[in-house]
Amino acid sequence: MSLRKKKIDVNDDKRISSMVEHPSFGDRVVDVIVILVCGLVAFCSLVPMWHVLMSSLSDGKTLLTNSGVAWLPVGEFTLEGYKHIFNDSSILTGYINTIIYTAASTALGFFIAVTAGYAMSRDTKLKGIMIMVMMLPMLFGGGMVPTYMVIRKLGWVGTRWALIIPGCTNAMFMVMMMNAFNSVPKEMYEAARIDGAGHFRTMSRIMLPQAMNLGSVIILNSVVGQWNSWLQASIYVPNKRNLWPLQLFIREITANNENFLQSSNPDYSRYLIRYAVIVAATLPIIVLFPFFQDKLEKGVIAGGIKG
Amino acid sequence: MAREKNQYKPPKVTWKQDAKRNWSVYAMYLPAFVMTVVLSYIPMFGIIMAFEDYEVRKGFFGSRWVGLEHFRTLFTGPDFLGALRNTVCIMLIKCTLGFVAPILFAFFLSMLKSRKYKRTVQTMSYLPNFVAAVVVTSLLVEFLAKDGPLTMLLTKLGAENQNWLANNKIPVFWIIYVLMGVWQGIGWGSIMYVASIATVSGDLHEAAAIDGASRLQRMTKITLPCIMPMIVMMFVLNVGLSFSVGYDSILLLYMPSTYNVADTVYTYTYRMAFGGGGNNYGLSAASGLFQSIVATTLLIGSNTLSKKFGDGHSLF
Amino acid sequence: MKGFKKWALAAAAGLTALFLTGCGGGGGSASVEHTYSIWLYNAQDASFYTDYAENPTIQYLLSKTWGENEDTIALEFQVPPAGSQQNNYETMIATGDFPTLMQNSVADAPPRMLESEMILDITELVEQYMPNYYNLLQTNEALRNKAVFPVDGQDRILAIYGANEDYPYYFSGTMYRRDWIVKYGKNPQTGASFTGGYTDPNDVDSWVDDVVFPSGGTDPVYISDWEWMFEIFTEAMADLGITDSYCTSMYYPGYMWSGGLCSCFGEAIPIWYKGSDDIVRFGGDSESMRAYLQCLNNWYEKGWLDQDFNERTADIFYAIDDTNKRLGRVGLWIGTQGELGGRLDMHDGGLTEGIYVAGCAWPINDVYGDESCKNVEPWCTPGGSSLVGTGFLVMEGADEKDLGPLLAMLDYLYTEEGALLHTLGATPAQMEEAGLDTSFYEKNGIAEGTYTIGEDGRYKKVSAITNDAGGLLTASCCDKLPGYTLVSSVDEGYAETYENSMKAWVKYVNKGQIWGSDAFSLMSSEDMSAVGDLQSKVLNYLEQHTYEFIKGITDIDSDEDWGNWCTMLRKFNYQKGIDLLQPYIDMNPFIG
Repeated sequence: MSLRKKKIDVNDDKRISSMVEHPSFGDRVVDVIVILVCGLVAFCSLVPMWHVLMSSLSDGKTLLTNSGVAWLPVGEFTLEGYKHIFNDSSILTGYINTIIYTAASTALGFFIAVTAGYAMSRDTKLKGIMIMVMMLPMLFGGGMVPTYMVIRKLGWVGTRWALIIPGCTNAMFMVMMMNAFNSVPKEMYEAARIDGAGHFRTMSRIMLPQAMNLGSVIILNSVVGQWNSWLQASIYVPNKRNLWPLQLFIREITANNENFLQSSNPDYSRYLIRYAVIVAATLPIIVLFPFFQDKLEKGVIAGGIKG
Repeated sequence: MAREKNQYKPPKVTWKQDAKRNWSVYAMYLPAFVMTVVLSYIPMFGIIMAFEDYEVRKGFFGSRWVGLEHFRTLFTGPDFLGALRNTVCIMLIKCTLGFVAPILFAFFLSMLKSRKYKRTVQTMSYLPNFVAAVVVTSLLVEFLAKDGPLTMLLTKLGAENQNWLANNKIPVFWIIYVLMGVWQGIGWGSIMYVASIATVSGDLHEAAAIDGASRLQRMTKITLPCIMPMIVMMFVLNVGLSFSVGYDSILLLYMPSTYNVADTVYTYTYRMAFGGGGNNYGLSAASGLFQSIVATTLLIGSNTLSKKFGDGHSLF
Repeated sequence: MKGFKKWALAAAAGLTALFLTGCGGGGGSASVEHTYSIWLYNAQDASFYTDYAENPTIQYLLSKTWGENEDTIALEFQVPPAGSQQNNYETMIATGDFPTLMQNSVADAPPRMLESEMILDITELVEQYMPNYYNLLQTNEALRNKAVFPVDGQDRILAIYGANEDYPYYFSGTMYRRDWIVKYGKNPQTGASFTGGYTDPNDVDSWVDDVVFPSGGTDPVYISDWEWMFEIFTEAMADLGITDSYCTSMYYPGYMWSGGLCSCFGEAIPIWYKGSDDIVRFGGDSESMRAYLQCLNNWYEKGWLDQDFNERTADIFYAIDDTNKRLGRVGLWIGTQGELGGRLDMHDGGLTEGIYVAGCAWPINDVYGDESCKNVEPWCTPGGSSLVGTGFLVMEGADEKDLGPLLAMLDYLYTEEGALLHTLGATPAQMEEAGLDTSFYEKNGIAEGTYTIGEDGRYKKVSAITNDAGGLLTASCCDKLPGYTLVSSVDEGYAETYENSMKAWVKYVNKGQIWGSDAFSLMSSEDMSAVGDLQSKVLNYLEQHTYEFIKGITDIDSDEDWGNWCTMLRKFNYQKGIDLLQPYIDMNPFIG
């Protein structure tokens, strides 16, 4: 019962402060400091992205000689940078591929993180070993070529599998999930077990909804990680442009423009590309972010009620 | 709650009992185990590169064996000790200042009353996480140049006007570097703490509030202990990773005149292995292996320490 | 639970989508008898088309038949994403999945590749199928040095290299503000003011002036000419109120290890190089190096040299302090074609108003050091220009196919007709004749093709190509393949002043920089990695301490400080590098 209460009201502080009639002077000072510090962090975080956004809308030649933060478009407002990027329709393939890789890899990776995290959180005799086995690859790696040879033996080179599967075993996620399961009250677990529920059922019905708060963090991390990844694709599907994720197209566009100044008659609007690509690659995910987070939080609450 | 769990000592069970009771747990571990072995452990044969004069075309089993030669080259290099000292110092600052910042920020966020404001601040603070490292470093170079906006601000506050990245006095570069990481990761790093704080039971807060505990007291007395396991876990992980991960952006920030403070094991090896025109993969692998071993030692060490002194909280 | 179900559902949907789309990929190639794969380091700008096989000139070539049996062929191009060529090469080598033909931009030297059975010895193939290339190898020394190597005491052809008719222009070089010389300089002989300006305000290359340098010519030749310019620049900056700028900058370590200014004081560069007597030397502790450092120290102290040069590590050598330069506040710098003439003019009333930038060659020292350092032509130039184009290797296993048709086609690119295709591409008329689509030409504004025949009989690039900012010519011609590149037979369509600037950059070509030279290709891999390790250590020391001499932190004129520097360098045992390199230079002293 207490659980339901806890989960429904995400914002406890609001409830509590409305309950306490007169917030003390100290509390008020703390409030103001908190608001100011948070505002400062937000401002500092916004500045560079704002700079990038405004630069991408500037005039290339003027921007080249501009130093300092671009609070507003430098020189004339243009969209030339974006024209260069979307000139080539293959970038749309990139968006679609990235969505496929992100969805598949996140779903599979989440499943693995949850099952492995649950297994590692139980009091088994192999617990310590299981954790060590997952942690070691975080610190030791054989490098690109041996990994490539394994993937090649599996027959995944040149296919989407090479971009989806290897990203699914993330030790960090498993350890986080393990921690989340650890912090679920022991009584809940035991009650379920006494009721005769098997481990998988206990995990999915009782434990996971309770651990979904950290679970959603893992999903977020996985989505962003996959969204930004390009290295795998450049190694495993270098010649299959129809399988390229967005970021690889973006790297190609950037690389093609790196030397534009060497031309005898440089097209200065190409200087904007370096900024425009950042916006084109991150804007979709940033715009979706609050919506996504909302959904997740609601999912957590719903899960809490049902569980 | 978390403490309860840790005080619980499982009764001694035999392997047979364990297998019978937990076979389904092990079954759940299996997919991750198989994938990790295939995709991470098998490729680890590449580590032998550290003991070879590795040439791509001769492969891992055909290149000339040089034993510990690369390690000797690395450790006896003229600037190795300085690089090691810098790595350790940067790691220490990362694990203190850099580690605490997102936790503090998470607490601040959870103390905000307006839900809308909190959401806005949170979303904005994620932004730097999406900016590529190259862009971040180039912005930093621009901002800290002699006429950069940040330098101007610092000059107004009484500091000497200078290119801050060219300052080779201890610990200017170390702090700049860690702060860059903080700036980029504070919002993103705080997500999991915010999530943990949100799971702290409202009942406890309610009771404490009625007892007259101030908000600050409630934070330190109730919330902090509740998310302690999480903090310890992240700390242990951080100690391990912060020795070996993320030093590549220094390549874009340092200059020969600041090598004395900015050179790290990673950057030093990079110059030695790839800076002369050729590629010495073996040396680079040897340095990587050395860093991994140190990181593992640190990870196990910090885990042991936290088990001993940290209320029994530990990662494994 | 609902949450989990939702995610499971999403996972299922994702995976299904994956299978569906995954099956869509691939696709069989047409049933052509001979299909060859070619690995390219990079291809054209993807905004023109995404597969190099769509290149009009390639299509034109493929529409013909090749070899004795008049076979048609098909080409598959493998182009790794920009920036990941090295990774792609390494995985390819590790797995042995070789293409037929590989561009050797990231590959090892041909003899070492042959030794490890990665490439084919193509001597017989070339003799049989590539008569034009074979003949060129006999007459062109530079080409032969790149492609022919001794194997078991016999000269064998191991690679197919492109060849240039002449030294092609290079994209970057030293340049200076000639408009400042006109405005603030005085004729060194007569003391009269200079006159000059644009004859056509809309033409950035229409500059005319009567500038004469102290050495007597119309272009700077000596260090003394440069210093004369610096005095004028200093005066100009004082007059214009520029306080925090400088006359010239220097790449951040204080030198470029591949040459440039430091090779203008005698032949030396700070590392190993080949002297004009074919002897390998180490230049770090040479008198030439000392003279160079004395010069830069003097420039630094006079305020001519960028006072913060060593802090600009983020910049590439041809874009040092780009902003300042573009704002018109610097006198002399290393820049690119796009900065010549009046191209930097921002037309905003600022310091670039009326700018005229002219290119110049590296100077000859006539001021610093002893006589051995003076009046020696610049010996090692970085990057620069070469008579040889990119090379290609025929990979192991390629002989399972009949290579005749492919090699016959490549050989065609060494004929006069083929060279034109290679350099300037097929014309729309040729395309039509072959029954091919010409929409590429119309779409890109070159409906008449990339060139016309000029009055002097040379091929004149059309203005759309000359003024193109992207890679239109690369997208039209087939110069990514090996072949003969026309240089002097092509009228670039450049204005005279512009062309003169570019000519100044190829006035001295590299004669001494060993790294990457032909002798280097002969080295055993053990010797090469030994030299590489030595060079890393030496450069690590040099870049940390060179700027100290220039900035006067240590005194270059003090024998003690210089002695310490030399002692330190000797400690790295640079003699070992000389001993390792000399035998290979003896085998093949040719550099260029």
